[in-house]
Amino acid sequence: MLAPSDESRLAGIIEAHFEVLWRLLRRLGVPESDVDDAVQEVIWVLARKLDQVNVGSERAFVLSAACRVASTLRRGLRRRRESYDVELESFVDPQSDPESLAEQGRARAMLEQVLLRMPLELRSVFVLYELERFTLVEIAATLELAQGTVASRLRRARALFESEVAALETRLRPPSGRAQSEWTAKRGTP
Amino acid sequence: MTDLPPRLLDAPGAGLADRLLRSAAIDAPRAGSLARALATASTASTTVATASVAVGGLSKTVATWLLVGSVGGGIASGAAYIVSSEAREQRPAPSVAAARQSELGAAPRALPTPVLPPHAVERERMEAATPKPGEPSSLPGASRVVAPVTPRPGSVAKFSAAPPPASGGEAASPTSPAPTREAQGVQGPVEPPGVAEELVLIDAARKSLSGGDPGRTLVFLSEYRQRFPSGHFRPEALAIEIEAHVRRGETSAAQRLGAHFFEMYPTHPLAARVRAKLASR
Repeated sequence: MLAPSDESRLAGIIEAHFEVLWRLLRRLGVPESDVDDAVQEVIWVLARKLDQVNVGSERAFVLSAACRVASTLRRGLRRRRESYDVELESFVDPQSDPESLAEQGRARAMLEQVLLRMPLELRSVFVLYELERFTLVEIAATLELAQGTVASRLRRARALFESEVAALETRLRPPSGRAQSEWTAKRGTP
Repeated sequence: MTDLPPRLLDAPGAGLADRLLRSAAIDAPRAGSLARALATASTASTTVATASVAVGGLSKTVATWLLVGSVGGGIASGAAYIVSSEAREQRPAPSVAAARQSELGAAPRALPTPVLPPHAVERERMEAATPKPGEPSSLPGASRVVAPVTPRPGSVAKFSAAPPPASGGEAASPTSPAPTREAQGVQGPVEPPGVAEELVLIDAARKSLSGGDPGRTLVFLSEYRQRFPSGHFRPEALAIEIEAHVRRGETSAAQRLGAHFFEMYPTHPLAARVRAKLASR
């Protein structure tokens, strides 16, 4: 049982960093239905190691634990990931066009599939920098990496992201010529 | 590093990449998520137990893993502790792990000796894949505290600690669910592995060792490594594995793993026990 002061500290840490913790788990590929459970895993880790968490480094500890929990969960969900290509194809069926992607939920689902193409070590850096807007120094501290490693991973992650998005755009682009006619016929529109 | 371009979302552009990244703005906790998290924190505060493992007295003090299950509000919560045998009176609830033992005992006894991969390679792969922020075992004098976990309802019950076939272990995906999931008709996605599931395997390994079946112990530990390459109890698993090799008279393997243990966890409370076991041969 934690001392009352530790109990209060634990709750305070959770409350202060809950949203970024939740978002990070989600953006690292934890399915939305599993994020709450993943948050709980992080809380248990934090509770048992609370005496090792220095004041001021709570966020780094929480997010570092989140990366590990997400990694574990993703391994458990690998079978889902193996069906990625099938899932991606379902996003680019002939009924789709780029305009239809304006629907944010659909775009978010596609983002997830693109992110899941990245190895976790790249994805975590990419998400923290591009979406959570951490600085490279903060990422280095959180992930316990050298700053040069963080920069290198970010470059690789960006390159991978851009190539995946380019491939996606190609698939989403309406075909031309005869294929266009067939595509239009499939859509059932003149 | 300063030559890094601005964040993608800060750069001008309205292409697909921009649209996808902006779609992440919808990521937000659901209503009640924070309350649930705080409730978990409260439960953790009252359930986490600290139990120092007496380094010098481990030859007489057998570390005992207790897996404590409690059900409340429809959510099963598992709590795991390491306590010394002298501290068993602190046990807050009947041990699920103890109950599991009867199942384990009913498992086939004549297991083939596991075919383990080269340990050096396996260890390197396992450790390299594991970030180690705040690795407790690297802290001098750190007491060993094992966190309770909150597995999804029934996840512990669904998990089978039955050892895998030794010949098929390496080929199987480390994330493949235990065969008995399907045998039990469990539907839906694979349950995320949790600390409670880790503990079932560690507990089974420890008990098979104390029951005089080190070959079976190695099967359990092989399964543990496959399922949890970055598990919470890698030092404990390695210590048990070393002892199993010692029991089997496999001095060379024990010494090799022992050297790895001392390299990775030089100040771990189990280091003295490992040293004593290695010296006993």
